Amino acid sequence: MSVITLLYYALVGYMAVLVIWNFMKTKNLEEAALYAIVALPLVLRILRIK
Amino acid sequence: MSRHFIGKLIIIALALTVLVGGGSELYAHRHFKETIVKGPGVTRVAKLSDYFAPLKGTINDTNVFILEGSKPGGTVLVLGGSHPNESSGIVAAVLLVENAKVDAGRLIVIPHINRSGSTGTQPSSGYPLYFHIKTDWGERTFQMGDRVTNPLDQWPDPDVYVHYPSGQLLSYVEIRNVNRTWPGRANGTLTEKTSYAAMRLIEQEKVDIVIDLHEAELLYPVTNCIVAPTKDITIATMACINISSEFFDIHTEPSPQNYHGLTHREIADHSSAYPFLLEASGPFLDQPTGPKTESLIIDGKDDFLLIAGKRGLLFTDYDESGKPMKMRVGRHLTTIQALCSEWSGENPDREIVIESPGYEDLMENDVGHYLLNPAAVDPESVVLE
Repeated sequence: MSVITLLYYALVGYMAVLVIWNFMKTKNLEEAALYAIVALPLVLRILRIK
Repeated sequence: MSRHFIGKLIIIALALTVLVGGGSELYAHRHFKETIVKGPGVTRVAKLSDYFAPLKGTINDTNVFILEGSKPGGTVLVLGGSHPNESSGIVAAVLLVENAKVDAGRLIVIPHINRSGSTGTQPSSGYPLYFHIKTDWGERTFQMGDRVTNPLDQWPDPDVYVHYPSGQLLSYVEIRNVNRTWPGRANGTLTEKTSYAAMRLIEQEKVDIVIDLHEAELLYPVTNCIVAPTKDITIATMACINISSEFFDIHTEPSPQNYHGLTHREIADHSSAYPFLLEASGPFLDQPTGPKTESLIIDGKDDFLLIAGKRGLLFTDYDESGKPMKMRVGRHLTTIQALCSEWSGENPDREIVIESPGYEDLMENDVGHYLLNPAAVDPESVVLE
């Protein structure tokens, strides 16, 4: 795997952590649902499923 | 527990359901192994890495089926799955492996030249993950793929793809299109290495004819045709005349001199082999169709294309009978036989004589009749793709 690909996965992981952190912090359930939806493709990428 | 906390738990549960349900299907698709049964004509199964070792262990180290005839002659290489979303190319190649018998010369078949492309579907296109062909004994499952190498196997794409060795500039995504990376590069990307390995196969096996199986949109002018470079054009034209007089309409398209990376251009320029690219009309590929469903792959029937056809917008005939898989596969198989026949007529010392089902057989009996049952044969005869 190339260096840039590793950096990309690190970036995706960081974004996923940010989104999940915001999910945990928010008190608005609509926002929470939105964060959960946004997190889905990020998790799939980290797991190298899609 | 607060209502807010319970709400979040519900959201997490729903998200996990989608993630696990959808993710497990995608994971299964990525790791699915198609079965191919070695037919009576198969004498050996090699791997593409046998011709270029650095490909060993990669996802594109695909199976190479070799069928040797009892009499010496020339060699034809048939490539399926250059674009894995062009299903009839793969199915036709599998039918050859499972049914063809070679009387003179050799037939080499690679059903999945870009195996990586079969492990994912086209993003945002709503493709089904598989298609199923009914057989005399049950059903055979095939993966639906994308046009290009899976980005899980080759990433990142450059902003602009500079083709080697021509230097031609192509769209970024074409670096993952195996039909734009010929003749390949030994130290290139996975897709370039795949093309390079196939060129080494052509060289080492002294291949005379290369036939690359594709599908094309009905809204695209290069459809229902044989694309051939200048040195092949006579063979292609004579084959078209013979096929058109007996079976179905097909025409010749010249390979553009200045469009690089394709089999019909680069194999002709970089080897002594005669390449032909076959296009069968595939409604699944057209943009203005209804939903991309399995029945569209198998039956090739679409109401929007029917309207387009009635308004004269298509480059081929199209009616309520659609363009079923049996027609597309039958076209490929008959065209392969016609090209081998024309080649043999011009090169009697390197004749290639192949017995296999053809267009009329497929139209009468359908594709499934010719797919062998992996459960009914010696397990040694079953190969996983």
